[in-house]
Amino acid sequence: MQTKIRDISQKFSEDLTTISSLEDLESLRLKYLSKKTGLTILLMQELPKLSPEDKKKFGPALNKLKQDQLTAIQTKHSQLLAISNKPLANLDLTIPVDPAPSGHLHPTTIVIRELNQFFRSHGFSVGEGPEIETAEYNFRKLNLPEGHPATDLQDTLFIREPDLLLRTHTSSIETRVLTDHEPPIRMVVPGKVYRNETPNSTNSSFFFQYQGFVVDRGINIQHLKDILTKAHQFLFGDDVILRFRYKYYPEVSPGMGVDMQCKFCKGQGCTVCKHRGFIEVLGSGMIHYNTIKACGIDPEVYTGYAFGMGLDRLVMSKFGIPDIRKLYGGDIVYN
Amino acid sequence: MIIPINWLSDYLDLPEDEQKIADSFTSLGLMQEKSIKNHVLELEHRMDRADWLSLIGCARDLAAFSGVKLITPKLTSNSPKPVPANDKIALSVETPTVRRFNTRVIKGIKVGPSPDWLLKKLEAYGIDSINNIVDITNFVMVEYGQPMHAQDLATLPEKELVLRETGVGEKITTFLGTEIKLPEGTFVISSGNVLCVIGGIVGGNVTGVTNSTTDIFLDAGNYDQRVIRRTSRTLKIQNETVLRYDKFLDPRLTENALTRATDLILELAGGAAYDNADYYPDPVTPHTQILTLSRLKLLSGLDLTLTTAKKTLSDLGYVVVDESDTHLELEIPHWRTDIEVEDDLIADILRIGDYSNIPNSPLTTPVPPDITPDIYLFEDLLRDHMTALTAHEHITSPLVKSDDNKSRVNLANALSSEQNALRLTLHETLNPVLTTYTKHNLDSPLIFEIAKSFTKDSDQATEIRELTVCSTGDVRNILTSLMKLLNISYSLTPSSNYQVSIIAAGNSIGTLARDHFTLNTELLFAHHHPYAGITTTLTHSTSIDLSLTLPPNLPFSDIQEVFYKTSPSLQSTKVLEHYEEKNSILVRLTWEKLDSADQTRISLVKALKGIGVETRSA
Repeated sequence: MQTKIRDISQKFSEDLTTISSLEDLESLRLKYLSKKTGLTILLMQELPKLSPEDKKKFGPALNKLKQDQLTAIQTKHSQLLAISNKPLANLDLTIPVDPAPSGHLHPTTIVIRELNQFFRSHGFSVGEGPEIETAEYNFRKLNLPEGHPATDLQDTLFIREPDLLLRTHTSSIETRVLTDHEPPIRMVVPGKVYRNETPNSTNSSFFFQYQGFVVDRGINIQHLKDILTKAHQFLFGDDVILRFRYKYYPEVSPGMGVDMQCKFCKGQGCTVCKHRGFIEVLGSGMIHYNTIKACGIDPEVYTGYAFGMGLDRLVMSKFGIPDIRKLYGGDIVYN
Repeated sequence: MIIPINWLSDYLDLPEDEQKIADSFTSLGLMQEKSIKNHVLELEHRMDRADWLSLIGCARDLAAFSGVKLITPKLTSNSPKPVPANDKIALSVETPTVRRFNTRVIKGIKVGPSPDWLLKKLEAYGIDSINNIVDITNFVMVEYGQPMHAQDLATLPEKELVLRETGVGEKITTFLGTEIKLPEGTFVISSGNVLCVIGGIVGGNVTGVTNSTTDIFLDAGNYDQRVIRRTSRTLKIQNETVLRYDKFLDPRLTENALTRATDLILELAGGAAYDNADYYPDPVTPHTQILTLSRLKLLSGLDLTLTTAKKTLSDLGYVVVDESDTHLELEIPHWRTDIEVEDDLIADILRIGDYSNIPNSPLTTPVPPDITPDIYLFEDLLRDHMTALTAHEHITSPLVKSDDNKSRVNLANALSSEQNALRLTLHETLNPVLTTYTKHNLDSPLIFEIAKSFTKDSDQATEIRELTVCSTGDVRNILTSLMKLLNISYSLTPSSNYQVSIIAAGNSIGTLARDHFTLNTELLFAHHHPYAGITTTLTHSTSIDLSLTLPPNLPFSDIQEVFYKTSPSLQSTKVLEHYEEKNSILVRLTWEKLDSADQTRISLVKALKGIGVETRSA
């Protein structure tokens, strides 16, 4: 038995050195380890016929033989996989070929997904709502009574004056969600909004906003600063420098404007930042007492914050698109 | 707001660094609009803080922010004597637009050029000098934020001014010489039959103050800002007066402004001042607002004290009328017409304290349940499927040119005649994008959009969520693949000469045309099966090929219906060849498992014959 074991072991080692393909390796495995015809397996089947003493002596040796062969086959398998075993012959792999066809998402969708990913990781849901909106949700519940000077900021496209319009901001979804859901709520809302403007390279009659809001017990302005800082670090890197300042918006009080230090001039002032040193990036604030109340939530119990930004300039800067009309006018081609 | 720094320095001590002044205003809420030129700040003002359209208002906030004293002009404390009866100008107010009309008469003045200091201040602000009287009214407007108007008493046709709304066809020529036809109902001030002023907007050319004027009628009015806003927009007139009058000014502001202007006129032009009349039917009573320490701490997250709050608010002109350990009751200064709620006081305290001093704190409340709508996530999945099917996503403007389609949603006030309605279908705005691809010779463009289209039925506008796929060629394979990815069984039924309906579970979920298809994403969502489409048991399927000769005008969907009715276990059908000239097709039918192929073939041939389809051996 000892001789047989030695012979098989030796023969296996010799055979292994000749193997140069996965197919040959499989043949080798079958030759020695096939359940019915493998040489090693057949030898192991002789074990029951041996005396108890020989069993004790050769059992472990046979097991070791089988285990060594399995290990050797696995090692060889890995080696063969690592190298291409097919000769290149006349194939020149360095010749360039056309890419396989692929589709592309719109740049705005890509940025929305990035932002959604960030905010969802912070416990925010994503919300949406109608684009044809009532003055009630678009203005009244947002502390904007008829004739309020702040309506200057948003020239409205009406479908039927004065009550039916195209939403001028995604804040209309905030009032819908707050009206329909009990706090606590954390939500972001990407969406189209409309203004009665003559289109040019930076303004369009329709564009995208990205809104976010939180209503819960004990929400304060420090929470707002924190999420906005993190969101900008996510978008622009940890070295982003932000400036927080008071700014009036009718739907929040206290209101807060957020500016980012101009990356081109490092705050020194240049044409990109209109010599301000900072670029205005978003508006925000604590949701107005009257808004929370108008949505049927007790403002003495719940407080909240909201923020909103135009998405298109962010998309244009990330993708190097100079004109908003190209972004939504079909002048983008993916190639 | 334009702020000449030299003029601003009349009201507080300023640092030498002008940029520091601009930065402080930016923190306070008046963001620097442009770089400083010639010692003049240009600050963004897009809000309802009417007092920020006055230099004293801006100076007050800056003084509180900087911790310095505010210096306001010394005003004559005594009211002038009543005007003699024969000089009195009667006021007749016939419109609710007027909240107050506070007037004086000043006699015996000498109109001439303004002194140098006044000229320089107005020039720095950007207002042209007219004469000392008009310049003073402009100066006081910028200083206090209250527009004023002076008229030559001698040119008033009557000893009465009527504040009213215009009738049909009335006209006025402004002091700049522009004739304006006024819409009916415009707020005006007239005397006799002459229109003297478009109320709150611009003066006429009849009663203006000139070098020969000796007696003037001086007014400071307070009007409904909504009316001024509407009129200025209608007439397309925007000026310094409108800028202030279309904000919510407090009627009490007229008092100091009128006194200040009177003081300056007497000083610079001489004469004697008289009270004329003060139309003020509903005097405003001071408002109070309570500030609680608990709310201040709740919104700020800061450990502030009422002592700090009291100091800040007093600096801004609030007057404490009551206080305890837990609250302050404050009288709101009349120039703060923006204050609505307690939180507005907190805003004042935080901005004067500077937002940059507020720390960041992460949210520590438990994460609420996710209420993201399923359809939103589904449409995102559709985008992934479509890009996997090699289509490019586009986003197009839903605004289109109106037409006579009765289902179209039209806009009531669009500026652009090219964008005065909403699209009826996504195809309407997406299809033109293909021209960009063809223009650049890009092969076989395949594009898609997921968005809303809009339709109207008896004045009820409806939004429809859609996916539209467009190409310059056949898109049926894309539809087939998409439906396979979504695991939706569907059939096609002719619905017009141009398109067929896409049917799932008996419902139309979209349409297919030669080069595009549209699917209603909400219906698609209702019919899709997210986890299907993967087989773990591999079987050897059975196929039968049939060569069919079709009668004219028989759609394939009818033949397919016969296939499935005859053999419900049929897995798929595939048209291998289509000989249009012979009106015949070669079709392969496949079953996962079929017990008797011969018997099935016989049944199919018989059933097909029933609808006029002849079968030849394939």
